[in-house]
Amino acid sequence: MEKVTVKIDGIEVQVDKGTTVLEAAKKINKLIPTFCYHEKLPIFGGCRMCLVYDVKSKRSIIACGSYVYDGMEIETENQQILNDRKFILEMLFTRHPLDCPICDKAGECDLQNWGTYWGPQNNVLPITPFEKIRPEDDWESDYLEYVSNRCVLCIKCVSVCDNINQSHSLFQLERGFETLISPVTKPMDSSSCEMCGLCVDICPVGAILFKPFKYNARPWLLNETFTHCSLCSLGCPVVIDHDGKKIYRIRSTAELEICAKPYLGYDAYNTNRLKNPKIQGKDVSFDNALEFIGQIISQNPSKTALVVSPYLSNEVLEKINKLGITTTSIITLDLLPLLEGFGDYNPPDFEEIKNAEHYVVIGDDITDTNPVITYYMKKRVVYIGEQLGRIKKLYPNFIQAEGRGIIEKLKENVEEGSVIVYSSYFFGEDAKYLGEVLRKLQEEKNCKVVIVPPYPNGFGIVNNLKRISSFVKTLDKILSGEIENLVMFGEEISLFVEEEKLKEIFSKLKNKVLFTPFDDGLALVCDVVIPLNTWVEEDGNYDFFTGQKKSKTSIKNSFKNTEIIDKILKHINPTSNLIEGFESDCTIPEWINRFKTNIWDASYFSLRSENLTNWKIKNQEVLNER
Amino acid sequence: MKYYPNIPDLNANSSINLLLKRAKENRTVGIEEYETTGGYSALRKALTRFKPEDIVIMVEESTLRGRGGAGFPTGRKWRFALANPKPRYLICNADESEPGTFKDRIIIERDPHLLIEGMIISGYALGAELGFIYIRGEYPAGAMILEDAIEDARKKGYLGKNILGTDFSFDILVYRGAGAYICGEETALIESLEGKRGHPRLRPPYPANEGLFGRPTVVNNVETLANIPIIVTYENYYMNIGPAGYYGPKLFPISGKVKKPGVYESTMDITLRELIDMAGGMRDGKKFKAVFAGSLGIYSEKELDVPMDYSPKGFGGTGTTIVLDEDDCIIDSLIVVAEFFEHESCGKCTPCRVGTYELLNILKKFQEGTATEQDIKYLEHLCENIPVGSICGLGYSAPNAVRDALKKFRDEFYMHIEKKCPAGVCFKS
Ligand SMILES: Cc1cc2nc3c(=O)[nH]c(=O)nc-3n(C[C@H](O)[C@H](O)[C@H](O)COP(=O)(O)O)c2cc1C
Ligand code: SF4
Ligand code: SF4
Ligand code: SF4
Ligand code: SF4
Ligand code: FES
Repeated sequence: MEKVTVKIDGIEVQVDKGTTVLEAAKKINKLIPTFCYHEKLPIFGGCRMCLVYDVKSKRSIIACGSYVYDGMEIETENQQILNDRKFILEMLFTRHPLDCPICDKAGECDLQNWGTYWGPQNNVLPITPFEKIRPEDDWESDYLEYVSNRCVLCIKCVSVCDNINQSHSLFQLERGFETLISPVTKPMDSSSCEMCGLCVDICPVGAILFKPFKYNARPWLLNETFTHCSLCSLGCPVVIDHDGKKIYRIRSTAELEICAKPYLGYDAYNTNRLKNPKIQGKDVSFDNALEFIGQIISQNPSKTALVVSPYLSNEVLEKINKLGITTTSIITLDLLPLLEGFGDYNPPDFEEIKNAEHYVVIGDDITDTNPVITYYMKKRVVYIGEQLGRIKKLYPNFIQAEGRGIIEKLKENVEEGSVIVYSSYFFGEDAKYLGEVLRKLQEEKNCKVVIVPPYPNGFGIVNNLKRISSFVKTLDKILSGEIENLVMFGEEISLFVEEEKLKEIFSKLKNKVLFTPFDDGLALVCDVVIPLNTWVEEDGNYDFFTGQKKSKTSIKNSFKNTEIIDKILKHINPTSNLIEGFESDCTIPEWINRFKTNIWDASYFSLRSENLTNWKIKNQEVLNER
Repeated sequence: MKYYPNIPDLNANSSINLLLKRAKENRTVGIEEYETTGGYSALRKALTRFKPEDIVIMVEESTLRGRGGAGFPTGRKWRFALANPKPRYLICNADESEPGTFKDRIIIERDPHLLIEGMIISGYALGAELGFIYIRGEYPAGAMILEDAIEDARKKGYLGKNILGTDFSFDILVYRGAGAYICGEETALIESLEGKRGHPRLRPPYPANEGLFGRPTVVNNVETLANIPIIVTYENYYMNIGPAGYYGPKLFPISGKVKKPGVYESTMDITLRELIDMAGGMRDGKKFKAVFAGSLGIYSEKELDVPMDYSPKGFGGTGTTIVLDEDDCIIDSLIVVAEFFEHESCGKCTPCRVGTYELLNILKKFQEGTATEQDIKYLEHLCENIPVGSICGLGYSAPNAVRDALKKFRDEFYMHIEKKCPAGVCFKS
């Protein structure tokens, strides 16, 4: 790469040819104010906040959209630039309502910040507060609100919606000073909007508000935790804003990767949480409850089985090995047989995947299970399967097929070098067969195979558990009386086993033990319930599609999942004469439900979110249309 | 002859009969008449006698400058595009929306084949196979006329595959704008042609390098392109038309308080004063007050001898001349212009979007009688700063008229502060 040397405020910096002035300045930590620039978005160059002085041409140029040349000399804070900045800010402030005290963005607002550093500090043009009005636009949404008066028309919201999640939900209405940002379809909650909140997060001012957050907290009083969303196997980087007790919002990082599951669904973590262990509905201490569980296990280890959730972290899974009892998980239904058929699986690089020419999507609707990966794929998709959920959002080339027919159609329709994306759909033998086919396509047609389960840590179970027994066989053993005690981590069993069957299974059990974050649902019908931390309450590593990543503690509880298992271990003598190895399910009985794979009830977390549930009702029209 | 709606009966006159040769009367010249009066002979000559490069050299030597406002040398613009690989596109800018500008429409409505012939020759010179005419939405008749003329030209083999039996192929598509002045700005025009919102692009890259759909593109004004057949016809004799360095015919749209408003064709050695005389002089024996030169600025009586050419001190631009007399108020006229810019600013960049709005609001105070001396300072402050950060010509030129007025008609501002309007428009005394 050809290098050029630029002088910025007297400091020489060497950069690649084709670098912008702004990027070069960043290299030497020079702060240049911006509104419309974002490193992940195409250059818009409209706000003119980033003007700098090009000494050679004696002109103010924009830093974000001007490219360096060899010998360029830039001044970022000479008198002319200070004047220019002041003027731009003056223009943005003349009709700005300056209602910072009641604006959600105050404290993290670029206009406020730049205004403080470089603004005129007084009203230059004589505009009274009564004249600070612009036309309004009601977005007709329960979640997003537009305050036109505060908008600086940087267009980042439209750009992020067009270029990142590609849902094209926003546009610019009218022209010039009268321009408004408006949803393409109203009411917005039943439009193509993903409710990813990217437009809210990227807005440099308080012009787009997230209604559930509105008037709830001052951002500077909140703690922010940079972590990874553990609601599907993508593990997007997100920020959690909290006060140590409660989560106020979950938002995107500069990577701009987030979907509605954490964005809208953050409220699930504040909802109906189980605080104390209970035995037969009565609060007990952790020690008592865990001793009780220890007794159950040690009294009859071979009559006890464990169901683990793919929402558990690697650390917890690793410890579960030590309990030395039959362990199963719903991944024996889909992921495990798939991998058995496929053999060693190494996920391709996400960045490479994002830029693929075209994709073949099979099985479940990944716009619901793994929304973020679909942001990058619109209009370049061949979809083979049932017309499920919201897959139409991708404008796919649609090939109708069901069951194994999908796999046959896949074989016929894959072109050399395709990227095949699969979340879930096939169980048992079918899954294994798909695995074999995918392996063949990878080898013979040079395809990239992307396996993105709808749950976060399926690969973590495979990588960390030493043995897994078949899910169906384990339940059969309960029915035949071979197993009497069931210890469940998470609620998957209630999502995957038909209600009548589950009742029957439960009626056969002597002890139903449930580790759960929530004080409702399955917790109401189990004998012993123990609180469980979710990904927002305990550090943990997860084996995401994008590699191993960590979720960090935002809310600190008095207990830890890992310690809980340690405590149980104290009460048992793990004999562990179980044979190591993985046993996946081959034949799938009628009473197994397939995934409920949509944004709203893909997991027992989403089910608890009032925001997601209400949005589902609003979005029903869009769903019905399909 | 076909009937086209809404064609105004504009005066048109010429001292040289080049661009307006067939366009002095209000009727649309059909292809047969165009041919019998020498039309398409330049095309035949170009395709049979010259290589594309010869035409480019001819245009360079002609000193032809763009008639769309910026006055950029056409030959040089073509060179830039020619430095880039094919496919290249040619776009005719027929968005003509500047206040007081109506010179392009007269060519389109009365002599459409002159433009079409110019485009075909230009396409040949540029190695383009496709040309577009982006015509403003408010010229519905113009669009129909062009569509029909293009169809006629296709039938006669002037457009389409293998024109006049050569291996050169070229076609033209007409695209109607939707009523935005900003879509006359060449990069906004290109965005609009691509189906996007009419926002000017950042430059570089220039259209000659990356224009329509990322391909090298030449955008030329209607009048510029209409000059091409004349250049090819006259070759070196073209350099006898008008003053040295500013050869060729020029159209001047004159409106306002002259006896015969209309489009006048002349060489560029005339002065503003002579041009007004060409249009019959001042109407009703009233006293001249000022000329609003479209978006370029204001000329006072002292400047009537300005040459109508593209020299640094010349009138330049599109040649738009709006004549004001003693009954017109400068402030009132400025408000009309400011309203136009406020309404037409695309809103992409902050200084122009907000600046044009505030400029208008302050001007209105002078008319409402609420202005103070401080407001003159505010106007100067805005005039000084709006252009600095603006992306396109609209922002650069929006304060021109106000800036000129503050220099040349400053006393009228002070009078308005005292609630006096010399023309009796804003306040009746
Ligand atoms: C706001 C704005 C509006 C413009 N409108 C027109 C127009 O209506 N017609 C036109 O020919 N050029 C217009 N231009 C100039 C074009 O950008 C461009 O310079 C011109 O089409 C080039 O053609 P020329 O070189 O033949 O003059 C406009 C420029 C600006 C900044
Ligand atoms: S929430 Fe996401 S999808 Fe909806 S408008 Fe904002 S950026 Fe677009
Ligand atoms: S709403 Fe926010 S992000 Fe969108 S244009 Fe306005 S200021 Fe920019
Ligand atoms: S795509 Fe998956 S990991 Fe990313 S934010 Fe959505 S649920 Fe979380
Ligand atoms: S100067 Fe005005 S018209 Fe031009 S891009 Fe900026 S806002 Fe739009
Ligand atoms: S940040 Fe550069 S113009 Fe907006």
